[in-house]
Amino acid sequence: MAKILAVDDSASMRGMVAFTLRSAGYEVSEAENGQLALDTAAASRFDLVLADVNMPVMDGISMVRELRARPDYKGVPILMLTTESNTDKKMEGKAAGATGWLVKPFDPEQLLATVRRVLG
Amino acid sequence: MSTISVTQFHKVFFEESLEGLDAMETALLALDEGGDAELVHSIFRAAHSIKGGAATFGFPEMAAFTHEAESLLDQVREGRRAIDKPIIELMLRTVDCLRGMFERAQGGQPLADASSEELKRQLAAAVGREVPAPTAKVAAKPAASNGWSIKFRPHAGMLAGGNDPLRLLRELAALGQLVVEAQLDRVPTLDALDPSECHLGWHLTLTGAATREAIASVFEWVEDECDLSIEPLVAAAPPPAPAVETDAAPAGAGAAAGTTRSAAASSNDAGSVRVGIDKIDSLIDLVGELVITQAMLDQFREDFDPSRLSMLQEGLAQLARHTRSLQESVMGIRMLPIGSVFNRFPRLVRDLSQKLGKQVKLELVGEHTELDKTVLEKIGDPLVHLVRNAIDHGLEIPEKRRAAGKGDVGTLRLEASHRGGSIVVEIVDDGAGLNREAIINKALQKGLIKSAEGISDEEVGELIFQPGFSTAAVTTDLSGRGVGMDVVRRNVVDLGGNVAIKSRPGNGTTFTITLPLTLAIIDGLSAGVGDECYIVPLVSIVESIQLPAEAVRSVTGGGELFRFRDEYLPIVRLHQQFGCATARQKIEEGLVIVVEADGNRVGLFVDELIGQQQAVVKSLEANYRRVDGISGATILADGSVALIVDVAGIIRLQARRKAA
Repeated sequence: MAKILAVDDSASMRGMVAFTLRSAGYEVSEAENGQLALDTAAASRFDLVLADVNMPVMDGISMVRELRARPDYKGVPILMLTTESNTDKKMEGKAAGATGWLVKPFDPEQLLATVRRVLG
Repeated sequence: MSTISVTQFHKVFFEESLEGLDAMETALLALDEGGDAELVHSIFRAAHSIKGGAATFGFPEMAAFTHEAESLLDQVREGRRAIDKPIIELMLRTVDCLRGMFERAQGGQPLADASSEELKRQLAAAVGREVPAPTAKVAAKPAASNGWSIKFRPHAGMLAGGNDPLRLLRELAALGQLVVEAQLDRVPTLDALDPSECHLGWHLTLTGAATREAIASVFEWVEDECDLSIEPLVAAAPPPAPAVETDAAPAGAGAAAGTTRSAAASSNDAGSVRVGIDKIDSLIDLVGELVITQAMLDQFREDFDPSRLSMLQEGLAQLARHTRSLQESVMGIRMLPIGSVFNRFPRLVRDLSQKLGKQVKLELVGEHTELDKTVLEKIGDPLVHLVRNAIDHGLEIPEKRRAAGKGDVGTLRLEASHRGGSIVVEIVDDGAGLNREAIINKALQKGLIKSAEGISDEEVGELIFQPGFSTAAVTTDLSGRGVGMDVVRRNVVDLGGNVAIKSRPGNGTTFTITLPLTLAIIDGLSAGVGDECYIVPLVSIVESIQLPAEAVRSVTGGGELFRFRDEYLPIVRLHQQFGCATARQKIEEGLVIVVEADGNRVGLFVDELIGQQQAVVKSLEANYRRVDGISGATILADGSVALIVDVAGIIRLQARRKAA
């Protein structure tokens, strides 16, 4: 089953994402901010990364930029979880290398549908 | 998969959000004193997380409210608006309002009320926007077509963004009947082919009822990474005329969601503790050691040979050591830094000093000092009272301070530290100190003392802890809430601690609260009475003595007194107090333990002392019922139950007997 990395500074959000994906059978790792996510992503390879935008230490957009620069993660889908409905943030994420985005609030079904779509 | 309910994440959402609000408040107060841009970012982040969580976990009113605050913070963050006092004030009120919403959310009540709606309007006005009223908007009905011709050519770098064109084609295929025609014209020769780039393009024909929007949404993530055209098939029917649509009022949707919220949120006051991972790791280590020791001791069960006695003794000593460490570690889990209580004071001090026209600098020292969770939860109110008191009565207004040769700004210091087996919290102000004359006059007036003659400063300090005492000429709404210093002292004493006061006339007042490290385990002295064993808390014991028969004086009413140093103390016979039979009735056959509580002493008559031991306190009330003079029970090494003597309670009972 696919391995997914969930990155969010909010424990409840992260918990909800991880629980939903695990219930669907995915293998999920969690990270609290961009920096920790980069460390986790270096230790093992993931098939999909879901990342919040606003986080302390390192935000999601910087994380995407750094992750994309690694050969291992060139073509790996990275989705931004964002409440920013304005296109600026989405486009900033895209420019940094994000595959797409999922706009908060989303419910577990929407999350799963998007993840299934991306993982095929 | 539709069974995943978001309510199970409510508790952690509440916890992290309340922490976020604390952080917001701290940052706002720091901004008030001229902080930097990073503070604004952290405030924004906290609000942003709450908004996202509230929307996700089913609290639309809270999300809508927080959205206004976030918009205002966004303007500040992006430098479109300067942060000033009114905005800080507004944001502080927002923090308070959100705390209220969380409280109501935990109780399963409706979140929004009149004051939150009013604050929301103010926030919206500050952002420079009217409150969004339900509006009608004109939207074009999506054009229908019986088919679409789509030309899709990804840019060479699209794959690097993680978007796979095949995924998009599969999604399109789900919308209707799809005919795919690949464009191979740009595929390079093998030696020039870069496998990480996309060289293909497609002509797609989709037939069915799919709308243009549905198709566009498939390409939403890649619209800037490809050449795309979506055209109706030539034979398409003319699109219907645009229709007018009305947006439903968002408030209606919010109310509906509010009432369907699960009741799970209302029953979560079981409480939880956040424990540092290092504490858990050390517990696991210790349990590991214990398992090894147990395995070692287990060898002796099968074949024990007296020659191996020393090994057995060593094993038992190890077991004792590990058990002790484990006990300490487990107790450590309940220990939390006092900083979580101190955190509320910057705000309190700011609001209070502004209201009273005083200037106060708050110093917090020793925030990392750890206290038992139960003690921590109960020490908050007494501390608030003492801080209020210090600002209200202790510190002076700037003019008075100047007249006394002091700086305009008064200092209030809260300091926590370990001292022996206790935690000491000091509240120190550099105000005027206790007003001796006013206190004595008030005490005379209230009949607490008969005359002002020969009253020491120490006794004056004690007077303010008397029930019903208050010197404020006008009862302000700050200190005069019907709660006196006597209640403060009682609360602290209930926690097994004490409050002392020290005044330096003209230079300030110091309140010292002494608290036990934990309530769950006490050090005690076990004493035998007949067949029973009683535990007397070590902190209350002054000394143990054997009295000759002639040292005891009988007084009318059946009481007994003995001379201890300079005073006569009453004797409380525990066998009489608790009604248990003993053969040792004569005073010279047993021992008297001199105990003290609240400055009063009595002698407890017991048969014998058994030894000093730690007692794990079990509630008698929870397991049996309340018994006067007993504060709890514990289980002894042999499995029998011993009762723990409530020294303060026994002294109260004794005083009542004397009065009767």
